Amino acid sequence: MTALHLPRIHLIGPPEGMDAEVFVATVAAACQGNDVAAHLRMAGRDAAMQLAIARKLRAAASIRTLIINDRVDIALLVHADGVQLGERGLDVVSARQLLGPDALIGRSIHAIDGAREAEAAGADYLIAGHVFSTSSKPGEPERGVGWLAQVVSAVTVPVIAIGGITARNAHAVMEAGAYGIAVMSAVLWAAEPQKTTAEIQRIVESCIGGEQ
Amino acid sequence: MTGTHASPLRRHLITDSRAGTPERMEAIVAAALCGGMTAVQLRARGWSDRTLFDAAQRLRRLTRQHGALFLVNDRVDVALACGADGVHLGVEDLPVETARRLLGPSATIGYSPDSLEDAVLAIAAGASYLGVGPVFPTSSKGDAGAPIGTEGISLMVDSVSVPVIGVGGIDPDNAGAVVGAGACGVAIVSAIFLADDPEQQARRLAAVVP
Repeated sequence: MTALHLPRIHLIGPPEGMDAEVFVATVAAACQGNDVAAHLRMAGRDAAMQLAIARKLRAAASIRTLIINDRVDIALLVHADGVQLGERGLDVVSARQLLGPDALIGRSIHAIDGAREAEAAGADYLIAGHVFSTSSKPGEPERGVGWLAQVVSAVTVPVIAIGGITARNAHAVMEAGAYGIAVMSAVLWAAEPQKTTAEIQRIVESCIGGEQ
Repeated sequence: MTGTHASPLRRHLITDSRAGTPERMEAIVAAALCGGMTAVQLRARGWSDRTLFDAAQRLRRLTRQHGALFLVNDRVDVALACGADGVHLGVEDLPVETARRLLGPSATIGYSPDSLEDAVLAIAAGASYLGVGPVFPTSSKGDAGAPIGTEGISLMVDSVSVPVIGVGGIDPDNAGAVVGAGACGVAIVSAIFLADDPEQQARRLAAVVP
């Protein structure tokens, strides 16, 4: 088990159509007073642009945990707290060699076999989904909370649930055994991102209240 | 520039994701190395990171066997993870100074400048050589811009202190003119990747760019 601090709320972006500067400001606001891992996910975008945004996120005082998706080099350059590797991303062992033992390394999984493999390779946590259907990944099948519970019981590492999660269904996801939840549109397009994040955090904490 | 004939940059193969799979890419690169290519740059736009890394490991083994230089396009992390000799960067990739910081002083860092001013800044930031072009019209890179001709090569060679290699639309028939214009070497994509016999194409190139 890792001794690293893994927040229970993971905020991933920017979503399609959100300006990078707006994204940085929105994430910084959402993280204010909340224990959040901010993920930069800009698959397919220029590395120079990704680095510039990553530096801005790192400079935001409210963002205490910064995770870079897929680009281990950018994570190294901005002293990110870790990386999130896609199912078709670099392998966990290589990332660990580059980042060292003190980095959080998460793997995104969409199948139970993939969850077991990622754990065996040394992933600190998994992001599993999509639990519910979501407008950001319209082609992704909805796997449901029953499937999520199966993933949780197949591994010992923390499982973060992703896909269509909001304050309304966060309770059911936590009841299925998730360690935490990943959100994108529900917070980033919210009228008050900080309040919405705090609300989700309260639900998550209420579900784990007795255990920790 | 002295000693350019011994430069590993002399005959530079840039890979193409049109190879389809890492296995097929490996086979083409193996043939080209047997034909005398001295450097390989892994570029595979559209491939997943996992597939790219698979290819990187295969090409690292091959280039080591042949004593060739091995560079990865854009991905400094993949270069580090597979033990490549360095990277090749463009204006939209990670800045040269950041790649130098991660890769260390002995790594080879190539850069494709979009102007003379850009080239000078990249050299100051630690670029080892410049890839300059497109020298001739090319099909392998849609965003390459208008051809600069061998005159564009001469202009860059006269203006900078690092080796310049010509890239873009180069084949065994026109490569001689590129080194004649002062380039330290040439980089080839389609002329080898789309060839029926990549090894023979590499041999033809080695005959004109010895």
